[in-house]
Amino acid sequence: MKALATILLVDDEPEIISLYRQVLTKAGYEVRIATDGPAALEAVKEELPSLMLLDVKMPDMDGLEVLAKLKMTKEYGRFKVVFLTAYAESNIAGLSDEALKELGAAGVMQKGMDIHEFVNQVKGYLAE
Amino acid sequence: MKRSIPLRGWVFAITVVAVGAIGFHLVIPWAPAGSVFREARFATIVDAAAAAIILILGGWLMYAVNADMRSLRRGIEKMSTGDFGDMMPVAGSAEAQALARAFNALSNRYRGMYRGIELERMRLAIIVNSMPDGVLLMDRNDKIIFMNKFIQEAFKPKGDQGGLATIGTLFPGLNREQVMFHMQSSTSYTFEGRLGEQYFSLTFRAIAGRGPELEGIILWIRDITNERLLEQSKDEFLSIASHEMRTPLTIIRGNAELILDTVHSEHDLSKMRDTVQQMSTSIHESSIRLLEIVNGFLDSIRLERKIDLKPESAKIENIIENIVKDIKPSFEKKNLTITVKKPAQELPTVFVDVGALRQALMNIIGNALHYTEKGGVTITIEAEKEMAKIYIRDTGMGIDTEAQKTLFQKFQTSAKSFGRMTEYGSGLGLYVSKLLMQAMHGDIALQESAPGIGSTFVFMVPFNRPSA
Repeated sequence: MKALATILLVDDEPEIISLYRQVLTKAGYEVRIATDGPAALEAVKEELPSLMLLDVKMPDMDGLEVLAKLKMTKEYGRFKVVFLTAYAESNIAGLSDEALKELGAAGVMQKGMDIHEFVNQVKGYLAE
Repeated sequence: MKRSIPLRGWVFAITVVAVGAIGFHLVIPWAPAGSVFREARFATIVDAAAAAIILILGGWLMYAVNADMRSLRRGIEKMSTGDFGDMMPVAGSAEAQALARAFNALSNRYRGMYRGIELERMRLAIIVNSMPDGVLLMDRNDKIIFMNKFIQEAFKPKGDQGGLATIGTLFPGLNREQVMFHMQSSTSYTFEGRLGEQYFSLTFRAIAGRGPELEGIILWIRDITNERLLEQSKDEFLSIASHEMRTPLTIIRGNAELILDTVHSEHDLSKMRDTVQQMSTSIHESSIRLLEIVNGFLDSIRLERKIDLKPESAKIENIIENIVKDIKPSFEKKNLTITVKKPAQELPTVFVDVGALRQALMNIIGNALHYTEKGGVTITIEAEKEMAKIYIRDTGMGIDTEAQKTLFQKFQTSAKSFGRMTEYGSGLGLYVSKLLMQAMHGDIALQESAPGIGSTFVFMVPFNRPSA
């Protein structure tokens, strides 16, 4: 069976990666992994994903910085970037969900939601 | 003392004689007949002389009485300006003296009252001026009639501009109309404003007059910078704390849902054994991590409130040996060594809460164990003046320079660089350890660390000082 789409999952937490990889694989997507910002940028260059799920809080290079760097590449705009965060609201960075979207993200997804809802939202972003 | 007839007594007597002389149209009856002393002419002269004496003495008497009155008046005038210093001289007529005495008694009494009021005023001034809050009084014409030291020093407002107008210029976003608007519907109005790096709360309170109009306004100013900063750090704490807890919760919830899905969809669960086991392991590990975070919160909250430790005399060598005995199996499991180096001679006893010291040491040794893949940990005990120094050196992955700066902070984070937590631990361990050590008048620090080579932490543990 051919995968529905390729999703690049960027997170520094192995357990989170393991969880969402299983959830998304079960839903029929091909999942690629990057455990930090530089790896994510490298992965995009290698092969364009359909969607990037980008963790906000990561050591050394956070999600905002990854997106900012991505914007300067020719790959930017050819796929959607959705922030994936455990912050209830993103105000720790002084940024609301709206502000994050303004940075060039298609949306913000909160970690901890029901896994079926998670898949639904991913489906939604891919369908848009 | 001999009582002599006072001058005014003589004056009075002479006057009586003089008046008598006029009244009886006095002649001298025993003077030889035909002498001038028995003639009416003489009587007329005597009358005239007596009249002259009465006039002079009367005038003098009036003058004297007036002088008494003047001195009395001066005394009253002085007293009315608040000067109770001099007593009125007791002199003049008996009446004047009695009056002076009565006046002095009155003056004395008022002096006492006045001094009491002065003292009270001084006390109030001391209280008002030493207040950590500002208080300012405006009359109904918007004129500043009083401000305490706090306001004088912190704001230096100029009264000539008008009270509210002046306050308005000090705080952006506050003006006279705004205050008056609120004061119409309520007796007080509170405004919170920022002035440079400081935050202030301004409470305007109306002073009611007898009529419908305001008598004036009293303004209370409080520096709420600390409260604000505390609020901010609390918000930050909650934000980071919820983030840290959401990560393991996400893993727990997601994996539990995956297991449920598997159970519902697969008839032959034995096929899924490995998958389910892996998910269960994730849940298990995350729940432990969550528990560590919660325990870390409780510890840090407890310690920040300075719950008393129970320090006692203890042998540091024994504490270390016990820890090593307990943790050695975990080291052996990873093929790591753990060794203790101590001086040949016995060390003085330390004065610590053994449980707390153990917790802090365990934390560092546990970290060393976790982050070391080959080699091991060396614990060196040294004595230095009033402190025992315990070095914990590992051959682990080391800590990068950037992370070293914020190592002992809550969640090892600074607001700028975002919260940062490894998959291991709660991010509160080092923070809690430092709190514990400092509560025991000791300390903990990172001695040195190099990525790839290892880290050395040092504990300072106070010796038991012999009580004087």
